[in-house]
Amino acid sequence: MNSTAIVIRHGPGTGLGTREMLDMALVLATFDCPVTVILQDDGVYWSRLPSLPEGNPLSVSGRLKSLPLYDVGPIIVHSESCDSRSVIIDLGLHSTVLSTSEILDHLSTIDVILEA
Amino acid sequence: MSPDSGTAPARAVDTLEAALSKGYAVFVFLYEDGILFARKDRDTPQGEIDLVTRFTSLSAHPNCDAVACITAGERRGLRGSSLLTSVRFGGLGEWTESLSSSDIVVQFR
Repeated sequence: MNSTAIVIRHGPGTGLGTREMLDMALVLATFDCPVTVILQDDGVYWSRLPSLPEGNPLSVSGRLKSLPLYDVGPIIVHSESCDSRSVIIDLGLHSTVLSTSEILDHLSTIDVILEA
Repeated sequence: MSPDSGTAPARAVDTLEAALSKGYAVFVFLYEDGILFARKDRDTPQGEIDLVTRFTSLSAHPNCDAVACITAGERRGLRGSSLLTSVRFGGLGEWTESLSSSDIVVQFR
């Protein structure tokens, strides 16, 4: 089974792409495919688990929090992206903070890399 | 990635054409705005490159299996009646199965 990394690089409010790629991550995990989610660039804003109006199709904070329940993981947050945006990660997100070089090391073990 | 989003759609169609010409079996999964490639009632303004017509021809190739995500299609108003005959609706489960058996995966977005 191919391992997959989904790299989220866009923040809240920038379209359906993040939600649809997280749906993909959940389905991959359901099929026992190893999945990593990486929050990078403006994607690190999701690590704050922002609240959007209920039912808003752009809201994915609930999905992000539920990823470990579906054995999606690790959820990796890019440290330099956080630093440059002064982002503080919400404690409700079970994530690992890694540097650029550490993420590159991780990606070298992944079969398929998809961008959200 | 919709057919109108810059040069990436043209590269995607070029890549599909090249792969099929070299004898590869290709599974195309249309997701997000990419499902707009599957609209048969789509018109291209005069003078612009008609990628959908090229894609329509390529997706009918016997070595090409083209699937449009049904959920992404519903979100964007794509119904069965407006779907290209060479494309069928499918789900992420089918994508996952193909992913697990593919030698090469290429994403265009």
